[in-house]
Order: sequence, then structure tokens, then C-alpha cells
Amino acid sequence: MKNYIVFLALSFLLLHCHPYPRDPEKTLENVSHHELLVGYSVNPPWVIETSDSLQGVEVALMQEFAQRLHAEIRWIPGTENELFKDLADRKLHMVIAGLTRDTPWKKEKIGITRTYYKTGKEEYVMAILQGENAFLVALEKFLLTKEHQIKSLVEKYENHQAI
Amino acid sequence: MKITKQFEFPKALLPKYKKAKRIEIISIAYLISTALLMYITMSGSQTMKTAWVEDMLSLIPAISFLITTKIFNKAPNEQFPFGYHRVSSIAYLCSSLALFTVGGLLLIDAILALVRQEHPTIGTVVIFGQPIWMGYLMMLVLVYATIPAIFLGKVKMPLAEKLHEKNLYADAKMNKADWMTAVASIIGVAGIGLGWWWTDAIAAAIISADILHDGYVNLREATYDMLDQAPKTIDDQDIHPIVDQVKQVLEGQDWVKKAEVRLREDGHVFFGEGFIVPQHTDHLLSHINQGVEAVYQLDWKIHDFHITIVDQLPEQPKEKNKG
Repeated sequence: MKNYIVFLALSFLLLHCHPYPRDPEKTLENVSHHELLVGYSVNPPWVIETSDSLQGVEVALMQEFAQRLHAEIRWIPGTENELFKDLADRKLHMVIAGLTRDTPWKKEKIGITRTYYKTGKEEYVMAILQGENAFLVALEKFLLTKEHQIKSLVEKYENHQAI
Repeated sequence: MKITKQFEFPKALLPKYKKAKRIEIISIAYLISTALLMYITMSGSQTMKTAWVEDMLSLIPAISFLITTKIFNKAPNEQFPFGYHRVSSIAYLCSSLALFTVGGLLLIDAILALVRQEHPTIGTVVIFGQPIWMGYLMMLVLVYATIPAIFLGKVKMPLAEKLHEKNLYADAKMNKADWMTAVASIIGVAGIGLGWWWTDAIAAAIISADILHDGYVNLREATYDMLDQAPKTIDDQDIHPIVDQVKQVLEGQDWVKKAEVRLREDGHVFFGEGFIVPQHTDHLLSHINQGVEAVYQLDWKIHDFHITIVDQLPEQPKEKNKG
């Protein structure tokens, strides 16, 4: 019993000495100050593509997230089918496409974030590399700080759509 | 139809029996609470899923003990002349089969997760506006799943031996499996946090192999019970010393030339016969009655015992098949 408590105490101490949780493939480290590979599939108002620009709620969120990581975004267009295959093959870091929590793609070898925005029955999420938990935690913490601005972003891009 | 007498535990053991029932109700409440907490915090971890299923499974012996207490106290009748004692053996067979099957399924699941290189994805949960990594919560729940289980198991073990109650014994062992599972799971989840995706599936595989093993051992014992094997002690599964004691008591009677006994377990109690080659047949009826009484004095577990007079005993097979 004593040994067990000592074991628990030691483990919790150990866990606090290092950044925790960590990525098996160091995605967060690799992306910071480098390149963030984001696959996108058009789905207004989340992802809007015009002849000369890429806009939308999730595009705006990604741009700010990349800025915080001092990373450049490389945008990779595709159908959801292609993008999720690439994400499962670990050729992308993330996929945005106005995905909801009930997306059938979650059965693939990918991860999804917690719900970052909820409207009615729809719970919006982003797709991310499977098992890169430090990267996932960084993204989820960022999305949480934006929680209160997302509604106005959605309205902004819905109006944009109408024009 | 000769009907056996109604009896399950002697008066002296009744407080122990009541205590066992109380402990089992506490166990069930505690196990349900840990199962709920585990379900809430499970997210993408194979280990947590395995620990959760293990926790749900460990409800079975406790629940089946409580259900059987409702049944085995019923009075024997024309239709069930041997009484309802054996309902515990049926419950024991069911719970060990559940252990065995689920252990196997979980082991396959864990191995598949390893082969497919599924990386457990564990994100944050927001509590009072603060994002917290779910892994921390999992570890907290798992700590909650260990400490009370250790004590519950320690209380149940001696009760099970006193009452000769196999479901209770299986349950005490399950509590041990519970906390060992939780410790393995803590290591698995802590490993995920260190960036070792495989600790999760390996911890899950170890736990499920342990469940499978427990299931196998108990399933074997339960099947042997149903096959009317000789009474065994509840812990080390040796032939119960009562078998030899009964034989000695019979051979100690001065009218007995040779004696042999055959006992079987029906739940907590033993049924059986003594086969006696008498020295002489004077006062045979009263001798038989004295013999039966002397055997009943040995132990409360001997519930229904008869003496048969034979002119010779068959050769005993010397090899004990321990199985």
C-alpha cells in the first residue's frame, strides 16, 4: 500500500517535469516555426473559396492558430475522400471542411477535436493527425480562447455568402 | 420422494453471511460509480475501454451472489428434492464463462490496435472554463478504482472461506484483478502522455490476458463442480480434508470393518454416502444411526449423508485425477 502511494506520487511528479502530454511524432515541435499542412474542402461558411482568396470561419481560425505557432500554412485542396486518406497516411496535419461530430470519417485512423462550436444539433469539430496529443491539446486550447468570437465569425461569413 | 432438510448456514455463521451480503451491496454501488466515471473519461484509450469492461464484468459475481441468496434459502420440495443449493454453481458457471469470453474478445481487440498501430487520441476537457488534458482525469478515475477495491477484496476473502461460498471467492479475486487492472491502466495512460502510443494497447493486452486466464481457471472449476467432483477447499483447490475425516470417523466405529465415502458439493453444502463393510450385523440399525450422527457432528457443511451396508468394497483407484 505504501509502495503504491509512493509509486503514484513519483509518477505524477515525473509527469510534471516535462511538457505533457507529448506527441509520438513530435508534430507540434515540427510545425512550430515551420509549415502547417492544412487540407481543406469547400463548405461555406466554414471554408469559402473565391477566384483569388480562401476565406471562412475555419480558415480564419487556422490563420490565427498558425500565427501563434509562428508557422506558415500550406493549403491543400481536395475532396473529403482524398483529404482523409492523406490525413490517415500522415501526409497532412489537419483537415478543415465544416465537419460535425457525427462525421463518418472519425472511424478512419484520424483524430477529431472537441466541439469548438455548437449550433442547434450540429457540433463542429476539426480533424487532426491521430494520436498527436500535444498538437491536439494546443489546437483545442487555442479554439477555447476563441469560443466567444466564433458566433460573430459565423455571422460575418454567412453575410459574406449572401453578397 | 425423500426430501432433504432445509438449511444453508449454521446459526454461528449467520452474522458472517449477513456481512457478506452487506459488503456485496457496497461493492456493487462502488463498481457502478467507477464504471460511470470510466465511461465518461474513456475517449480514445484502449486501456480505459478494457478497464471499463473489466469493471462491468466484476459486477457479475457480486450480483449473482446476491441473486442466489434469494434462491438457495428456498425450502426443498417434491420437485426439487435436493433443494436449491446448486444455484450457486450455476451462477459461478455463468460468471466464469462471461469472464472467459470477454477476456478473449478484449485481447483480440488490443492486439488489433497494436497491429493497426492505432494511436490513442486524447484531447482536453473543459472544467470550470479551464482546459485539462483528459489523460489526467483518466488517471484520477483509475486511482479511485484501486484503493477501495484492495480493501473490499481483503474483507471478502476470509468470509468466502468461512461460508464456503465460491461466488464470493470469485468476487474477492475479481477485486484483486480490478485494482491490478487499474494500476496497469495508469501506466498505459501515463505512457500515452509521454508520447508512447503503444503503452496503451500493451497495457490493455496484459489486462485482457489476465481476465482470460481468470476466466479459464474459474470456468474449469465451475465445470468440475457441475460434474460432481469431490469437494475441494475454496482457495487452493485441493480435495477438502472433510472427505478423509468422514472416512476416519466411520472407520473409528467399533462395528465397522472397512469404510469408503463419496461426497459431492451442492453450493455451500456437501451431499454424500458412506459405504460400510460391517464387522457384524448386531444392532445394525442403531449403529447406522450413530454413524450418521457422528458424521454430522464433524462439520456444518455435511448436509445430507447416508450409510449403505455392503459386503465388500471395490478396489479404489489410487491415481487421483486432479485435472
